[in-house]
Amino acid sequence: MRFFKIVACLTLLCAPLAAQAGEKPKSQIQIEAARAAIDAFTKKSDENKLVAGDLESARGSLKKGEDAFANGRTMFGLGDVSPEAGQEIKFDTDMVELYLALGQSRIDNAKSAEELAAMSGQVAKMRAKVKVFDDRKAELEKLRANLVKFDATVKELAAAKAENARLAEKMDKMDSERKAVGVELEHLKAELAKRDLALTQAAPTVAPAPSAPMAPPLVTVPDAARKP
Amino acid sequence: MRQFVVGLAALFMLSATTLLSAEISKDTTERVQQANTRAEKLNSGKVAEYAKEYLEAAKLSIFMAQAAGASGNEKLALQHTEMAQLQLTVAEAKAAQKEASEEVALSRAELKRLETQLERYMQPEEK
Repeated sequence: MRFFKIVACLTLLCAPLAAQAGEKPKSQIQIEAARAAIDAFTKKSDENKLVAGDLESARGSLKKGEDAFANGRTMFGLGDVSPEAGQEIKFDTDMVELYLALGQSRIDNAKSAEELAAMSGQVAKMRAKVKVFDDRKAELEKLRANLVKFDATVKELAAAKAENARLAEKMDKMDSERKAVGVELEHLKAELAKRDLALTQAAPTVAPAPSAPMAPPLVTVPDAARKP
Repeated sequence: MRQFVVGLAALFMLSATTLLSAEISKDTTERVQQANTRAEKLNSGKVAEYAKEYLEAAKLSIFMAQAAGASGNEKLALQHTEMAQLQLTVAEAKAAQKEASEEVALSRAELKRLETQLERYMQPEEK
């Protein structure tokens, strides 16, 4: 019975120590997390020269944190580190996180720049292609506009031709009428000449016409003329 | 909540300064000032838009550095200043990255638009 009491007391005394020994201190967890993050980033970045400096700085901060952890351990190595060391470790692990974030950002930025360069090239090529079509479209539009103008001109020309033909026909008609009138005139002139001649022959001794129209002329009518 | 607690702590540190009236080196004060000037400059640019989170963290670090400096804790002031500078660098890098990403997105949209236009041109014309 006494033996069991001693064992129980020892168990109660050792239990908290064993529990603490089983748990990892907070600072150690922070350091391990930082180390794991650095390892993961190293693997991920695949020795990218762009982030070599950031990785080096992160490793430097981790080393500082590890040193602070080693120097700041409490008695028997149980429990967490002293508050000053804990603060130092927190600062160092935060710095590790920031260096890795900076490195990641640099990688992403380089990727974006690369993508942008490739995209710009593609856009330039595509713009050149589209420009060819744009130019052709503009030319086609111009030709269409010209065609419309040409159609209008053709219509105007046809109308002018029709007008011309109508006028030519009218002119021909008038020409023929003028000719007919001319012939008629000649005919009439000839007729008049004939009559004049006939009159001249018929009255050779006719006295000249009086100057005063009011007084009736004294004409000597031959007897043969008075009595038919 | 966290910021409130940090602010209270900083206030406590500041008030303790007057009691302790400790001083830090001129070099540390200048470093804190440089970080503050840099943060102010970045605050008026695109960084404030694209990497607000990091910029705010840097401002808080500067505030903590000032508080530590006021309480005469030079080591802590230097640590916070160093962290603030790094946070500002990260903020700049993040902002540049986001800007580049936006440009890529714009280029992609432009390319898509041009492709669509080209496809339309390649199709037979409707009458």
